Amino acid sequence: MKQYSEHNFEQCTKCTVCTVYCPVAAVNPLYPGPKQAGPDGERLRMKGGEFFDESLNLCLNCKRCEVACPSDVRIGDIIQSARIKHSAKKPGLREFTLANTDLVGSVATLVSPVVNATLGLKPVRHIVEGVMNIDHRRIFPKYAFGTFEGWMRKQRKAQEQFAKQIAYFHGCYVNYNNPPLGQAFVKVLNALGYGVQLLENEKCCGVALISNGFIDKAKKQAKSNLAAIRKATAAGLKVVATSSTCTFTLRDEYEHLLDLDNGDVRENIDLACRFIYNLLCDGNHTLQFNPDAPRVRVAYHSPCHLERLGWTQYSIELLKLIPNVELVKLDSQCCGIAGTYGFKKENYATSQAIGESLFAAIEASECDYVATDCETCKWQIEMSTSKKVFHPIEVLAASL
Amino acid sequence: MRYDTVIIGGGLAALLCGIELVRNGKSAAIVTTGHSTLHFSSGSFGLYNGAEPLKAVEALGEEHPYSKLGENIEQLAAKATEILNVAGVATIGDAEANHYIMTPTGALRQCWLSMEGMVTSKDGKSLDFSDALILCPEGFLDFYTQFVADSLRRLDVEVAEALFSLPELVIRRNNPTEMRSVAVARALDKEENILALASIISREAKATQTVIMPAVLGFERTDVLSRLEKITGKQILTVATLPPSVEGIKAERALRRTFERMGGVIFNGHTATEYTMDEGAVATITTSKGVTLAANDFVLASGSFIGGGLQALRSGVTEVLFGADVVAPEVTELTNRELFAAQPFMSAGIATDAQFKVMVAGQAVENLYGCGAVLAGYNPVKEGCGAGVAMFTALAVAEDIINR
Repeated sequence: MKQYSEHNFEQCTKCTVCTVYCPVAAVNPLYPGPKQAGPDGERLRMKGGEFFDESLNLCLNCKRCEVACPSDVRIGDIIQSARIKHSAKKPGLREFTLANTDLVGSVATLVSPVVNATLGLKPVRHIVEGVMNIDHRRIFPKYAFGTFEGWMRKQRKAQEQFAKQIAYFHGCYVNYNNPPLGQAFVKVLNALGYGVQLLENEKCCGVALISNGFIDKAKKQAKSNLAAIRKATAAGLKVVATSSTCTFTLRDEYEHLLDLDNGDVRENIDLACRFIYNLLCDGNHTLQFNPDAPRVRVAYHSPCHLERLGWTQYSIELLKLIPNVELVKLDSQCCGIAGTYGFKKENYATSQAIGESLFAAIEASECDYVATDCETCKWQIEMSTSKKVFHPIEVLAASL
Repeated sequence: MRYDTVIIGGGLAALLCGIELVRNGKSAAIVTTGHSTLHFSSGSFGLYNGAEPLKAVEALGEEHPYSKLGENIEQLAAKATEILNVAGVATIGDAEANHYIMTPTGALRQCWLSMEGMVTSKDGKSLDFSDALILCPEGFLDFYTQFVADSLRRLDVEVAEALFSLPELVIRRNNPTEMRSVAVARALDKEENILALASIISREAKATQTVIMPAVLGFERTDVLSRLEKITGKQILTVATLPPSVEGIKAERALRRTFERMGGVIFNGHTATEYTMDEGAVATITTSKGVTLAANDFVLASGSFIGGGLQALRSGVTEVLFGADVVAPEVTELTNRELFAAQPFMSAGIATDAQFKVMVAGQAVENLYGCGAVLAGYNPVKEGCGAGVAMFTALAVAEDIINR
């Protein structure tokens, strides 16, 4: 493992390749791009915070700059760290609501029919825009009635029957919005001979807290999660997540942005598609596919944080193993939403402009639906195209 | 994951090798740290300096990678051109006789192929236009109108100069250091900006038929130059800019897309950091992202110092991944104090056998090939042969793998 110093920016050769691949710089001329916002600006910011430029808040933290960089500079981390350290913009009610996905989710799931119906109303969305600066064109994800954790508690006995066990980091989205994805994950793991457990007191991974400036709270939750992951690791359990962004946050952002040492458990945190694909390749595991499953044409979209993890190929290869799936691989590009970024009124136009060519490619792909490992990409694509979006694990579960 | 061939590196050599393999039915994966040095290339490809490059290479010594290709070079040159064209990189030029291309500093340099639409000369002494307008975006840092104008005047061209701007480019200048080629090219992907530029051209170029611009005509779109020509009725030519080079980026993108559409897989943002051996052959490599790849054959196309394939340490030059045998001058002899002389470090690289199999501890590894800038024995800058060596050795390696 390479060691990174706070002078990592000095590895920058000023080649500008990062700015070539920055989705924000491509559509918003106000953003100086990752080279200037990152390593160039860092040189100055070391002298003093007065060199911080608020345009850094336009960065959507997709990390595509880091994937493009030939010199291994952690450009996105430099930008995010500078925002954490220097930004004068204090989070408000909007940031609080968007960032506290677990708090909001636990309330919303109790009264989800009301919340879903209300947030679906155009006049309400205009009021939300007026009060909160959340764009009225943005469609909110629907809340589930009852949580995934609630469902899992009823499953405990059945799951304990399996000789092999894993711990599942389900994330807020599965818990509050999409329990069926979690249930699909359990179905697949059971079919592979694994029982699924919850972590002890899982908290939101904190990705939205970090990007909205609630660093102390993010750290607190991260420490709690790391303690739970350590406990699971000590019990010999792999910790597997379906969400690519949760996985990325637990593995990389905790260390890089929150300055927490996760080195002892990092390699034990895996992504569902990677974990399952590796099982299927080890010669000891097989899945029985349903020969009557209808043929479907599926377009796969690579989420930015999965690109940064370097693991998109696992999701693609896993989808290729499903006999009734005809796979179309979309060119890897940012969909524009970047978690809570695209919800904010001032970012809406940038967000949609970034995704425009992806939406066109999806429509042109003549797919039945889209598959992706990230929940916020799903919201963006479902809102901006005519297609439904599923997680590869859901596609897999439906074919068994 | 398992592929027939895993290629380490993502530049011109890696992409050509990959395309040739996948179009011959082999599965192939490319592992690359980031984007390649094509981003700094000028949109032209050199085979070898001299009026007749194919004749010039006949005299090269046995240390030169070309000497291992023997009489195949002409055929390899044709195949490389074909692959570029299949990928959508339209070129002019042929291997029988070099032509000249105008560099960002206005100098004319010999080359074998250049991307269509650029300022070129058959003999280096004349151009096929007698007057021209040089039109450059205001505040653009990476193009030097005066150098180009001086050069054109020496070639008896009557030159006028003009600057232009577009509302989007005015905003870009809020960050003056980021007013770069890609930003301008992206603006010119938009139809309204093409139309605005076309009317500027019609207004400014009343007295001349030829308009010369920096090579920033469209980033995603490839039809911007022809659109402008059609609307204005003028001949539009471009000259490469300083990096990042839009033409080079377009070439990389076209080659990557071609490779992927043909079934190739690119592990982007991955550095190959470890490998395992099995009975004298490479069995797997593992990347910085924890991905282990197995293959029948491995190709080392990791580039030289700038690409990250070679490293110059105080103890000497080394090859980074396999610790392959290196042919390089002593550390104290790596540089020549005369900046524009042939720099000895340029010809450092790995030792390979007659089939470009990589030598490790004096033995050729049977399933590990080297190609491109990581190879020893040539000076790409001084000889003008970087692109040719990259493409021809890549194709020779691919051929050997296919025929095995």
